[in-house]
Amino acid sequence: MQVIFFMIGISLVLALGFLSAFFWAMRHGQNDDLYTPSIRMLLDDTDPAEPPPDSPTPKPRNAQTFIP
Amino acid sequence: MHFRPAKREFYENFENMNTATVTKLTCYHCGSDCPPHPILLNDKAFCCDGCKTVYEVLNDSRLCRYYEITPNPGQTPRLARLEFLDHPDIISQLTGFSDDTQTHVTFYVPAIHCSSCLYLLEHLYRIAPSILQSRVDFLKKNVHIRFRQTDISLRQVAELMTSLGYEPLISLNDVVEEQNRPTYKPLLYKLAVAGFCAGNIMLFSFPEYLGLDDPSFRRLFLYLNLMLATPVVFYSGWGYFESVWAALRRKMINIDLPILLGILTAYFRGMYEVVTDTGAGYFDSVTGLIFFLLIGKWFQQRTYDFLSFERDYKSYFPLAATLIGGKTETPVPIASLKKGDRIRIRNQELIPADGILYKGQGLIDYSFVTGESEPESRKPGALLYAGGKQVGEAIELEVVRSVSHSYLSQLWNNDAFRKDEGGRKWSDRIRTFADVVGKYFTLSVLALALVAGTYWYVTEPSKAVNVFTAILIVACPCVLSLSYPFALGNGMRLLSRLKLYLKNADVIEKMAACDTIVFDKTGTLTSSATAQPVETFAVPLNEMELSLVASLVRHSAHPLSRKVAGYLYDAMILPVDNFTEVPGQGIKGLVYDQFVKIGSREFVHPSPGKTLDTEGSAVHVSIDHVYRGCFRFPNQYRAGITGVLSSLKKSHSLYLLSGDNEAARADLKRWFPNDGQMVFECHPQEKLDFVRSLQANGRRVLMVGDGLNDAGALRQADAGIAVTDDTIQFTPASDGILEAGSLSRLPDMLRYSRFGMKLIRFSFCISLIYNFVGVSYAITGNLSPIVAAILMPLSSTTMVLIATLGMRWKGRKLFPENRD
Repeated sequence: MQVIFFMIGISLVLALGFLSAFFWAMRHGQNDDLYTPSIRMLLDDTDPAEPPPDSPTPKPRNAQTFIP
Repeated sequence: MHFRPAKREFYENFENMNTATVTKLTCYHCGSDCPPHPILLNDKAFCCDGCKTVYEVLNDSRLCRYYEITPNPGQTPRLARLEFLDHPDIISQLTGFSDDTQTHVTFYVPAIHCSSCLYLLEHLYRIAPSILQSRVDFLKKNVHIRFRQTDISLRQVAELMTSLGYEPLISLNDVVEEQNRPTYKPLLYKLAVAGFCAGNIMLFSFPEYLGLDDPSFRRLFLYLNLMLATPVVFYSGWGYFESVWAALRRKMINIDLPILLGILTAYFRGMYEVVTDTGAGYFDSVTGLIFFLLIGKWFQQRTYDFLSFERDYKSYFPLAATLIGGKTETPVPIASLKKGDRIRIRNQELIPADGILYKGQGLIDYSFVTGESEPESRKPGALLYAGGKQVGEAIELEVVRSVSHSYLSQLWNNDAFRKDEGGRKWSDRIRTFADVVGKYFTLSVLALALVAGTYWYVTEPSKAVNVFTAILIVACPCVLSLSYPFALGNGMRLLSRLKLYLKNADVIEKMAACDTIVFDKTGTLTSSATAQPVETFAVPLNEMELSLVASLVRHSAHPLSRKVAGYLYDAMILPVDNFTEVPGQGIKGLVYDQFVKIGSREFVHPSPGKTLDTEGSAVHVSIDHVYRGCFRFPNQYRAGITGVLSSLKKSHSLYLLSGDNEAARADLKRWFPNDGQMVFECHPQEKLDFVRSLQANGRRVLMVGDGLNDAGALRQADAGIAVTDDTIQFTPASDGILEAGSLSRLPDMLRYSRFGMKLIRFSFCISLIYNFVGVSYAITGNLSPIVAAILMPLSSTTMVLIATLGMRWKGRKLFPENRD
């Protein structure tokens, strides 16, 4: 049963680890804005290399070949 | 050229008669109605060049997803004067972190409203690569920007945002408020510590509940409990020490005193029992209690960030003024304006300091200060007071008093505006239920504990201390501190869904306590924003003449011109020659070879000594030098006002204050029948004094006003609610902001707030029953830790449930449209 002393120590250390993780998160502003990230994640980051969707230039030729 | 809607669209509109019967082409960028000749680009219509330019910029930077996320998300870009952002003093005040490679700045951008805004503002780096990163805080409408100051200046960053329609609002507020911004963090730290310790203590207390006999474990667990309880009491519970100390210094007893007493007694008794090995203490109960109480506090503190009540009049003040020195103009910070400086005020700019007008025609809109809706005309030589807004041409002033001494700061520095300072909290006027009860509750618990302790001291001295402390622990009125935040917090959430945004939950109690309501008239009961112009012509204009007017007003950006243009939207549009706009007076031009003049009476057709005194504003018209009449914009009563006033009349005494003349007295006689219930031609200071005199007569006053010209009265009142058409722009320092559309629900809202207070009293009675059970254990000396550990959380959860469910039930009953 002496192992209980050891296990209590472990459990307290674990719990303290979580507490300090929370403190770390707070200090790094993880709780500052709880709303914006929920919108941000829905926005796809389109690749700037793509041709602009509204480009006035005509589409490349080979794009036409797939149209029956 | 007229754009006709497609057939299907037409029928849809026909079915849905709420919308306009004729669909007009809307701008692809900003969604506003296009003029008859829209600007076309890539098959998209734009209402103006500004919108088209933004589209071109976004298209070039491949950011057109902006338009896919939300339809018509844009804002028409406006021109803004941002030269002052080149001033080194201002740059250093505005920017946060700065080193050799980058500078950080946070802008407040009121235009942020949808996910497209977020998308665009976070992709600024594609338009200007020198912007390293931009992050949006959606609810606070803030944008944090990091940029390379060697490649792009602060002014250029702000100008880029302005050119995209996201003008940063830079005001005195950004500089002053920076230091003392309230933060939610300390409470969450305390909550985390309390939760961590309370959870572990509960775990370590289990052996005690189950009757573990092994003495070595027992002692280990008890010492661990003591160790864990210490930070909970002295760190997490520190707020109670402060609050009780503050109350005692003012020779008052508040509700926190019995709580603190209970906490400390439980802690020290537990410590004594652990050290002497005579018992297990009540660590689990006391830490659990603190944890619960902090959750309640946290719930109370969570207010809605998107309405920043911290922005006060300073956010209306510009940061800089244009100083004229010789032939050059330099922007200088307002704080460094000195007597004798010459400054230039342009159209729509606020006068930052009292000054003498020496050049230009002043047409000053003092609605901000006095509530007068008509701009006042001033000739050179006149003294102009700070706070007025110039409408019309640019004027030049010589400053006679620096900013801090001017009239406006005096008004705002009035005592009523500093309720929270000087140790005397303004809420003292209305003694909260919690504080009243707290006093008697504390005294009776102390008396009871003393009597019981004395009794046991006589009969069985060993039990005396035990009983005395047990009563203090178990009789702790934590329930009251829990039902308050939960009932009012839930109430506040519901009210905010009904578009009444409160500063904090306590305002509900103040609203419930008020027996007198003071209304402001203009802008509160009435509104000219929705009014349709009324044609007042000796001979009605024919269709041809109406199109002459419509063609001319389309060229002007003045709000009244816009309204007339909207009113005559179906008139035929003719080309206009020689268009001239005289700022603050009117417009003129040749339409179809006829000379048309539209504007103020003096401008259109001066006729000395014959001024019509009417309410509201009017736009006069003359065609070919013949005066025809005017379009009138009457101040219309807001929808539902009749119901609101008749309903409130039964429960409250009503008063009306107005900055306007007496024209409306007859209309309002129905609801304000007695003498002295209506006061006209009131200045802001008089409004404030009126509220104060009501309070001196023992009234508890709810002030419903429209904003800054009655800001003093709003603040002085026990509860001040600002009615506004635009919650984004308008955030005066009141206790609550009510969207004008919801004004008709005000009586129900007041009823709801009263129900909330009744519910709290009801919970208090329930908690007394729990206390009775607990004290009866304690008084007989039988309060075992396990009984306390069951009884105290049980009563806490009951309180939370009653408060939450009760407020939701009543909310659904009163506001059935608001089901979630």
